[in-house]
Formats: sequence, C-alpha cells, structure tokens
Amino acid sequence: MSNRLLLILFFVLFITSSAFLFERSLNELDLENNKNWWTVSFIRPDRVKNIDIVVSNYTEDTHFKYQILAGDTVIAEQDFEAPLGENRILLITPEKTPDTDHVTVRVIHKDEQQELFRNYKLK
Amino acid sequence: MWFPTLFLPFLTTLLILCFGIGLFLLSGIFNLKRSPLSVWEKILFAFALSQSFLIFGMQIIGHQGISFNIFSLTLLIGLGSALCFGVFSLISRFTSSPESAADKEDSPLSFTRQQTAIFIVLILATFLIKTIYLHNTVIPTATDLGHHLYWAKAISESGELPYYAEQNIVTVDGTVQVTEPEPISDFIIGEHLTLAAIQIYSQSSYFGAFPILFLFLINILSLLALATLSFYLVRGISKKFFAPHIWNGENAFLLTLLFFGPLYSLASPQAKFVSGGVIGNTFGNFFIPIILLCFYRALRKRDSRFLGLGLLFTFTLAYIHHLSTFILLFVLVAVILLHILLHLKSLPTVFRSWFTLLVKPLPLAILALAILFFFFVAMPTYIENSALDTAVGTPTKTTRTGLTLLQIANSSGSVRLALALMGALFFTLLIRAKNYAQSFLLGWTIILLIMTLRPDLLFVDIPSSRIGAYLSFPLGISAVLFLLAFFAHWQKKHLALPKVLALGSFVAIFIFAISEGSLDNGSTLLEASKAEPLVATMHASQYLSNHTSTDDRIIKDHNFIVGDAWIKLFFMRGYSYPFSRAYFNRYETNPDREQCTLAMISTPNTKDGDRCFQRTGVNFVMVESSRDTAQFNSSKKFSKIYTSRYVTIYQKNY
Repeated sequence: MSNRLLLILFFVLFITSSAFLFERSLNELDLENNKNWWTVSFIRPDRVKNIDIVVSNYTEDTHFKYQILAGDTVIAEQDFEAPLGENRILLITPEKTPDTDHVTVRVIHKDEQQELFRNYKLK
Repeated sequence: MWFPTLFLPFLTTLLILCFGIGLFLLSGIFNLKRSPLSVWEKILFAFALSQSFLIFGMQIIGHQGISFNIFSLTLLIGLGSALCFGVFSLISRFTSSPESAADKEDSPLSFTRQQTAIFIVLILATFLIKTIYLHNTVIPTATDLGHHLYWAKAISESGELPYYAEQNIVTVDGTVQVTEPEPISDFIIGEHLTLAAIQIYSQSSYFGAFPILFLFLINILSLLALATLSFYLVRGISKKFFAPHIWNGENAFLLTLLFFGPLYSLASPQAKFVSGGVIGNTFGNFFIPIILLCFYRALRKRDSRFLGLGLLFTFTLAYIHHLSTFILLFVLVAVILLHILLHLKSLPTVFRSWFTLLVKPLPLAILALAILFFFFVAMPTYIENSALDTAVGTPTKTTRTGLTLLQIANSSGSVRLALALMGALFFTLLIRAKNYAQSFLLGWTIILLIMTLRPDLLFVDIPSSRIGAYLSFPLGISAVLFLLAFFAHWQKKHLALPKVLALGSFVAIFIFAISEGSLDNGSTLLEASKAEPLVATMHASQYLSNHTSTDDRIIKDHNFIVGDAWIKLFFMRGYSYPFSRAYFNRYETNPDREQCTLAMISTPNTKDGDRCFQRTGVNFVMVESSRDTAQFNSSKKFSKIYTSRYVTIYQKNY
C-alpha cells in the first residue's frame, strides 16, 4: 500500500472519529437526551413582588406540584403538568401580596423538591 | 438540527483552512511532484503553513481595521495566498533545487508490506484509544478551553482582534475596588485566530465539539511529526554499526508511533491536553518537532527552503505560545552549542556552511518579513506587556525548583525514562560520528533534562511540571532510537548471546513498556460523562444572561460548578465577567490575594462579605446547589431566583 493510501486511511480515521465525537457532543448537550433533571426559576426576577415561575422539565415524569408559602404557612398549592422538554409557565403571583417578609415557592416532583424564595424587605 | 448539516460545514472548513491553504503555499516552495518531501511531511508542513498564513494574515488585516467576516477572510485567503504563492515561487527560482540529489541519497519513507500492516494497526489503535478517551470529555467542561474560547468567540462575534485584558478585584489601602481592565499576558493571539476563522466559516457552536476536534487533529499530527523526525534522525546516523534490516527509518517511524500512539497516548501532554483545551501547549507539541525537523533537514541536506520554513514556523510559534517558544529557543541553543563542541577542530567549515545556508533568498526573506511584522504590525502580548522576565531568574518557589528523577519517571513513564537515559548514553558513546542527528537528539534531551531537574543552572523560573511535560517527547524518541539501536547493533555484531535470549529480552522490554503505557492510559480514562450538570450550568447561565445587563455584576463558584469557565461565553461582557471564587487553596497559599471573591460566596452574611458586596456591586450569585446554598438560604439579604439539582442563583436584595 502506498503512502498516499495510508494518508487517505489516516484522514478517513480522523473523519470517522470526528463524526462520532461531533454527534456524541450534540447528544450530550441536548437538554432532553438521556437526561433526568428539571429546573424552576422566577420569570421576572427584576420585579420583587412577582413570584410567577417557569418550570423546565427534562424528565420523563410530567407530574409536578407547587406550593406557595407565606412564612411557614402554605397559602396556595396545585398540581400541574410540565411536558418533557418544555418550559411550563405558571402565573401564580397572588393578587394581594402576603403579609410577610418571606415568600417561598416550593415545587415538588416525585421525591425531589426545589424552592425559590423572595425576601421582600430587609429587617 | 440534522447532524450532517452541522458536521459537514465544519469538516470542509477545517480541511480547507488547515490543509488547503498550506498545500497551495507549499507548492510555491517545493515542486510537490519531485520534491524530497514524503506525503507525511507535505501534510505536516501544509498544516503548519496554514497556521502561519492565518495567524499573520488575520493580524495584518485586523490591524488595518478590516472586520473579520466570510467576505474579508475569503479575500484574505484568495488574494493573500496567491501573493505568498507568487513570492515563494519567485524566490524558489533563485534557490538551487537539490530535489534529485536528495531523492537518491535520502529516499522518502517507504513501508514494506509487513510495516504497512503494522502502521495500519498502530494508527487504528491510536485513533481508537484517543476517541474512547475523548468521547466523555468532548463536552465543554475544561477550564482552560473555556478561557480560550471566550477570546475566540470575542474575535468571531466582534470581527476584531481582541484586547487581552481583565478587571480584577483588588484591595488598595484597605479598600476593596474593581480595577479598570488590565492587560493579560497569558493569552496570545495565535491560539485563537484559527478557531475564530473556522467558526466564522462553519458557524459551528463554540459549545460543540469543534474546538476539541481541532486540538485532536493537532495532537495526531504532532505524533506524525515525531515519527517523521525519528525517521530522519535514524537516517542520519551511520548504518555501519547496525544491522540495516532493523536500523532503518521506517522501523523508527513505527516504533515512535507505538510509543506516542497507542502507548502513553492520553496523559499529559497528549489527549489530556486536548480535552483540557490547553491550546498553546498542544500547538507547541506540534510545532517543536516540526521546527526541529525543518532545521535538521536544512542542515543535513543543505537546503535553505527547509531553513526558511523552520524560521517561519519558529516565528509563528512565538505568536502562539510563549512557553513552547521559550523551550524551543533553549533546545536550539543546546543543539548549536553541542554541535560546535563536537566540531571544535573544524569550526570555520561549520560556520561557513551555516552562513551559506542562511544567506539564501527564502530564509532572508522570511527573516526580513518577520522583523517587519514584529516592529510594524504586532508584537506578541507577552513581549508587549514586558512579561518575559517572569520566566527568567533564579527559581525560588518549590514548584519551580525542579523535579526529581522519580517525579519525571511518574510523569513521563519509568520505562521511557530508563530507555531514554540509556539511549542518551548510547548515542553519546557514538559521538565520534559527529553528525547532526546526534546533536539534535542529545541537545534536545539533555537541555530539557537540565531544565526539569536543575532549572536554577539555566536561570529558568517556570513551574517544573510544565517543563516536564515537554520532556516526554525527546525522552520517547531517545527511548525508541535506543531500543532500535540496541537490537540492530546486537544483530550486526552477532554477539555471543543466543538468539532466543535476544528475542526474549526484546519481548520483555516490550511487554514492560506496553503494560506501563497501557496502565498510563487506563488511569487517565474518565469514568462517566458530566453532561447533565454541564447542561444545567449552561441553562442557568442562559437564564442569568437573559435577565441581567452590563450594569449587573455576578459572582460564580469555580470549585464545584461543572463547566463554570464557560459561563462567561453566555455574557461576553468581559473576560472576568462573572467574577469567580477561585480554588480554596489559592486563597490559603497567597494571603495577599484579595479575599472578596471568597467571602461573597463562603461567608456572605459576615461584615466582610457585606462590605465586599457593597464595594464590588455584585448583585447575583451562582453556586452549586448541594454545597453552597445554606449560607444564602438563611439570609434575609438574598432572594433565590433560580434553582435546579445542580445550580442555584441568588439575587441580592437592596
């Protein structure tokens, strides 16, 4: 086999490896592919009184539940669905601001729960 | 998006920018059909020439205020390479062409059927091992790569050459403040220009695999460069001591490929540097053997075109990586001094031959253009910022006072070290031959051994482990040549030892080398992918980028967040945006270091922490969810605005 053919082999191997690694990175960076995580965040962090949230779900299970706590008291709660790979927006800010300096939004999904909170005023 | 629509543009761009330009330019210097270059050399020189062209070409148009985009780059590549081709062709006409003489005396690499089969097995194994290793590290988690790609992204997004600077938090007279952007000397333009050009053409994402694949290509090419260098070194050492069926360039090529391909292929400075995104070192490990090859070929064949290429590549390396350039200069001085020492009786002849080689159109033209570029276009940042003196002086830090032989054995492999030391001794005994091959091999090995073991002797003030990473290449080549020479000499002399013993010892050394090399590979392979926490980091970064402006200031943690160095690529608001809590030991080992970045995450509720928030204006904090949230959850001064299993973001209440 001439050196030219060996060179071609070299490039074929490089291209094959690169294609494999390239596709691998696309899969790895795909938020949904083979992942099992979710996230919750405030939609308007710039608005102190606003506690509307968005839940981004990258798990197979789409059943979630949220609770709003004023201090330690649950003032609202509801189940909701967040389809896989979607951002579920929940406009949950109460019309009347709770009479407390600490509001928590708790989101529960299977055994895992995550909390966001707002401290309205400094003590 | 569909995979081929992403991969094919990248691949096409890579092949054109990294080989097409270079092959065209190389054809202006050599007649490629009759040249003394093997196909491997053509491809290696083409890659190196492409880098030189892009690095200098983009700097020239960048300094003229021309924005980088597909149109301007295409014009540069079209017109610029045509101009260079014309100049090279013109110069080559005035240069005597030793092609035909070279062909007879030094025929290009040519494998037998057995050697071809071995080559195929070795190259397959090399790609396989490296690909397996990289498949878990191809995602963007490496700190160094994140830092570098910030600058590459800055170039491709702004279309301008970057100003390497960062803002720092400092304490002046007890008052914490954020500085104006201050120059950075650690980044050099050549590390980023080709990546930016590839991205501009292919529109590939910096978060994808393309930067790693580019480094992977350089790494594989550096193996070929080492193997080619071994090939010519063996060709340059007299055959009279050795059995020619063993002592030949092709065997050296294959054995080098074994030692740097399937064996020791992952640990520093190989695939680990690729996945780590150590761009400068990876380039350096390609350019150093290529430059040595050029100079060796120039001296051996008295061919000034190789000298011209060697000078051009040396100059290119100076605009890519300071440490590699520094090491290369030491190596070249060592080679020259050693050769002078070996030729004390015929120095006038030696100097005359060097002078004759230098005073030829191509080397002189390259030197003249290099000087013009250096003084009138751009100097490397480390020279512009006068940072060179930080590498020179008597080393005082314990990390810079040298490694022990045991530490070298651990980093380079004890088998390689043992064989290399025996090789150095062996070729020193053969020193009577006084040829360039020995000067290059011994000069390269000895100077790096001294720089690693006793840097104080040469006033080198650089972390010894970093120099040690460069040592593995000459050690490997020395080991390969010793192995080959030992058995070739044995065969030639028909020593009294029975054949079975010779074969047995050869097999024993091989098994020893293979087992250690494989162990080295095995210990480097990562166990699992960090994809999930990484995408969580990226998701959180995107959220923060969408909800903040340049008026906001952010701090994030470097200790626990996966892929945190890449967060800055979501903002593109400055190299040190967001601020970072560094590794804890950095604060312990350097008490003079500012403590605010530590306090704002570790102890935000203390007086110091509060003062730091006020003085720096930081109003968002990004931390790893399981380790750094308790101190913020218990505070009334923060709101928790984003959270996942991996990353949590707090907002400071004002």
